[in-house]
Order: sequence, then structure tokens, then C-alpha cells
Amino acid sequence: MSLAAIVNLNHPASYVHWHFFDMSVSNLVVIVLMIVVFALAIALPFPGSRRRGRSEP
Amino acid sequence: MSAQGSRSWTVRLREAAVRAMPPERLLPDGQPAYMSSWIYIFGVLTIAALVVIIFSGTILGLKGPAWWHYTGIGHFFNSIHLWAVELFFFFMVVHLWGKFFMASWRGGRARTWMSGAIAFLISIAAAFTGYVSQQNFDSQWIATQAKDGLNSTGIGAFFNVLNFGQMYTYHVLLLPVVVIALVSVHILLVRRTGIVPPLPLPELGIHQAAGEPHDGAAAESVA
Amino acid sequence: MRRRRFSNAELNEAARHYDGPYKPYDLIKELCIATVVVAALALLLTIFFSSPDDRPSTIAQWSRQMPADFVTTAVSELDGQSVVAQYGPPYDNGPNAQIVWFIHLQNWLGVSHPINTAEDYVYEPLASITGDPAARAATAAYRAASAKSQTAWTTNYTNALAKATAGPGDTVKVAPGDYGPVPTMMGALLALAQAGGLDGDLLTSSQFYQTDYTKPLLFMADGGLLAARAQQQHLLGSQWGMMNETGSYPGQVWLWLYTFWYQIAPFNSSPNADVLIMMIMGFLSVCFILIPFIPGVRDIPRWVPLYRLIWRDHYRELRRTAAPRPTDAAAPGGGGGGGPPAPDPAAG
Repeated sequence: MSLAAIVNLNHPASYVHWHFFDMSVSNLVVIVLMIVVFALAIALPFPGSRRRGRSEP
Repeated sequence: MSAQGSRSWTVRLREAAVRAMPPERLLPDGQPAYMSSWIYIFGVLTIAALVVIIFSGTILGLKGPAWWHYTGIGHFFNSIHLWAVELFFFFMVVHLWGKFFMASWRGGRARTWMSGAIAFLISIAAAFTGYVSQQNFDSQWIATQAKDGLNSTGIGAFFNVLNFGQMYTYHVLLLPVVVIALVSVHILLVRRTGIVPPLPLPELGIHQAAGEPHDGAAAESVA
Repeated sequence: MRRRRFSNAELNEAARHYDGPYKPYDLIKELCIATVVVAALALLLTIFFSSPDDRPSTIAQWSRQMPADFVTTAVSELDGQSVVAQYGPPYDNGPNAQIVWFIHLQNWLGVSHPINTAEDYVYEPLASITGDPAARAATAAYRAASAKSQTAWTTNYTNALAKATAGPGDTVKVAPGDYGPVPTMMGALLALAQAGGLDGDLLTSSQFYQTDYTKPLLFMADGGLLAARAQQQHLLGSQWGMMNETGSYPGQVWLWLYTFWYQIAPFNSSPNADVLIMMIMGFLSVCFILIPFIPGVRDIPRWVPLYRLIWRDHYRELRRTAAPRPTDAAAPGGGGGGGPPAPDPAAG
């Protein structure tokens, strides 16, 4: 018995086939998300990036 | 400072530790102004994920390996543990990509890179022992498959993935100790060597990227 | 404007010191916020998706769902033709240990988990059955027979099992033939398995407490049930299965490179694929650790200048402070470092 999830993932996955490449959609989503998050991390401006700083004592 | 001079091992160890890592360096309250990118948060996000892994894993360990199969609350904590692992690797890989493209090993920081890379590999092993400790179909399959790779190298002679007791012990004690030790070394090295400065732009010259004042102006003293 | 390549030595030296501006930053607050955020994310993912927990297979289930497969496997354990019987160390001295040239790693570490497949999977479980004198007599007759007879019986029976039909109550029926006492032995073993007795037998064969599932798992892996379930879940090695999880859950994405090699020649048809791939991955892992020392690889960050994005605020500031100020008198020409006063003519 388990607390029911809102989205039930306990069914066979869908797969992406291309030549010998064969990956589940779930894994592909994770990989794409990593790339997107990485791109956003280096592209998005960081708040508080002021020029005035304090030197280390 | 010490009345006994250099003969006391305790004093020598303490003074060496404080020399290598004065408190202000261990826990600084400032950081270089060039740290102005979201990529810098992925190290601490990885550590945070590890904290959640350890917390949820502790709950699972306290209740024993069978608990999560037959109670809803047990399954709940198992789910937190699994998703925290996915988040851990997610953040760690983004952190790794960022550190690679910043060439963070420069300036005497090779050991920081190396300790991080080893931590990544040991984490994979730690996750693997978790997968074979699940006591469900997935663990049956993973164990009976993985044994071939490990046996082929001779490791199977002393690391038996079909032995639940052994794998569980590796998973809840031995490998977490190694991972925590490696992460600690990694963080201490970061604190000791400082965050790597930006790569110099070819068109601006090497010294300017190091942050040295280049037009005679002193560094600003107070914000 | 000067533009030149820097050597690795120059880059390393320049990165040892930073005397520029700092800004206040609260590391502990950052850690606390990160922990709360990640815990919340894990909680959200748990509430939305939960986690998979497909029930494990048992020998009882295997023998009931696939009786012909069970019996075929048991016969192969009896006559030493099964995968486990031929495996080599650490289970036995079978011939299929993997090697690479003169490197016999699998052999060198020895037989540390000895398994005698005929004893462990057939004779001992049959000996534990009480009240079945026919099975006892059949086993004795088989053990007393010559090796030639034993091989003939098991080979004939294995061939017949390939065309077996279902008998009454999850048993198997084969065409008449010269099988000696083997069908009687297997009938008794099948009944024991279907009643759940074999799961316990294989586990507690040496003492009461057990945490070592080597014997029952190897027996099941020699059969077809685990592989059939795995194929349905896309977990086979040939299906990039190492990366996958049961159901539609994300799996072990970080194993992508490890499982990749199994999909391509020559590994996808080599009997030594495992040791070859472990060696490749071992080598690549060492290279990964040693990236700071590998010329070319360590230069990629300079060739793929993502760093210009990451540190753009810093570079913008450098350019701003490097540009001649409008109130200055005419500065000496050229050079990004121009602008009065220039106390260090030796700089950059």
C-alpha cells in the first residue's frame, strides 16, 4: 500500500529510438532539463551585481 | 604564544590547523566580486541534496529495510530519498559542467577538481549499492546483471552484489562515510585555495583578470 | 589592443592571487536556504510522482508461471550446462571466465563463493523432501548411473522440454523418450518449488539467519522469468537498460556512457564485453580525475568560451575601469592599460 501519487508513473515508459540510440522519455527529460538549467544558470543575470564591493579585511 | 613551545603535539597540530585554516578563511563573510553568476550556487545545492539524502536515509535505516514496502509513510520517505538522489546527481553534474568551463583547477586547485571527481565516482557506487538494497524486482535485476561486470574484474570475489547484508552495510555506512569525507576535503580545499579567479581575456591582458588595480586606483576599502 | 594566448603556466600563476574587490556574502544562510529549497523540491517530486516498487519475483512464482523454463533450468544445473555452472570464478572453475589477452582478472581472485549447481540446486533440495520415496529412489538411481547415461538422459530431456506442453496443474508434459529417472526428479523439484519450499531451501541451506541471496538469485537468473520482466520494463542491456528504472520513472542517467559501449560493436557480441568495458570506463574515469593535467582537454574551457558569459559582469567592470576617463588629459596612445597615472610600467 502506498500514498497515491498525483501522477502515476507505474506504467511502461515511452522511448525515443534513433539508430542504436534508445532512451526513455523520462531520462531524456532529465538530461534536457540539466542542459536548460545549466544554460539558464550562466545566462541569467545575478542580482546585486554592483561594482562597489568591500575588500576583504 | 604557547609556553611549551613546539614539543607538544597538541599545540603543534592546533597551530598548524589554525595556520592552514584561520577561522576567517574557514567561514568567510565575503566573497570575490567576480562571483556574480547563478552557476555558483550548484555546489551548495549538491550539498543540500546530500543532506536530504542522509536525513531521509536515516529515517529509512531507523525503521529497517522492509518498512517502506508495507507502509505508506515508509514509501513516502523512500520516495524522498530517491528524488533527493536524482536531485543530487542533477545539481552535481551542472556544478561539474560549470567548474569545467571555468577551468577551476587553475592556480593550485587541481586537488579540488580531483577530490570532486572522485566524490562523483564514489557517489555512483553509493547509489548503486542503494539500488541493489531495495529488496524489490529492480534490485533483483540490477544485482544479477551488475555481477557480471564486477566479476569480470575480480572485484566480485570480495564485493558480492547478490549479498543483501553486505550491500546494505556498504550503502548505509561505508560509502556514506567515504562520500562525506571526500566532500569535506573538497570543501576545505575550496576554502583554503579560494574561489578560482576568472580566466583572463586575451584582449585585456593577464594581470587585469587577476583583479590587480591597473590604473593606480586602490581597491575600494569600505562599502 | 593586445590579444595573445596565455600559457598554462601563466594562467596558473595568475590564478594564485586575487587582490581585487570583495562583497559581503552569507555562506551559512545560503546553505540553509539551499537545504530548504532542495527539501521542498524533493517533497514536491514525492507528492507528484512517488517512487517505483515492483514486487520481487520468487522461485515459486517462476515455477508456476513458467514450469517448462524452470525444469529446463534445473536440468541444466544438474548436468552442469547452465550459465552459473560454466561461469568461472567466483562461483566455480567453469570455462567462461572473461579475459583480455593475458589479463585474467576474473580467475586471479579465485572461487570465493563456491556453488556446486547439481548439489545446491537439485540434490540437496530433493533430499529435503520427505514422504516421496519415488523421488528418493530416482535421485539415487541417477547418482549411481554412469556419466554417459546421465548426459544422455539430460540431453534428451532438455531437447524434449523445448517442445513441452502444459500438463495438469502447472506441470510439464513431454513426448515419450529415454530420460531415465530425470523426469521423476524434476517433477518432485517442480512441486517443491511451486509450494514455495525452494525459496526457503536455497536461502537457509547453511544456517537460520541469512542476508545472502546469492544462490536463489543466481538460480532465477539462469532461468527466463527475470529477463522476461526486465524486457517488458526495457531493462535489458541491449535496451540501454542500465540507465532505466521500472515504469516511467527516470533512472540512473549518469550511467549513460557505461551502458553506451554495450550497444556498439565489438562489445555487443563479445563474450568478454564486461571486462573490456570495465577497463575502458576505468581508464576514462582516471582521465576524468586527471583533467587538470591533460593537455587539450584542460584547454577546452578557453576554446569554448562560456566563461565570457559566466564572468561578464567582471569583464564589463574591467573594461569600464580600463577605459580612459573623459576628464583625463590626452593619454598615451594605445593599450588597454592606459590612463594616468600608470605606476607599474611592467604590468601586462
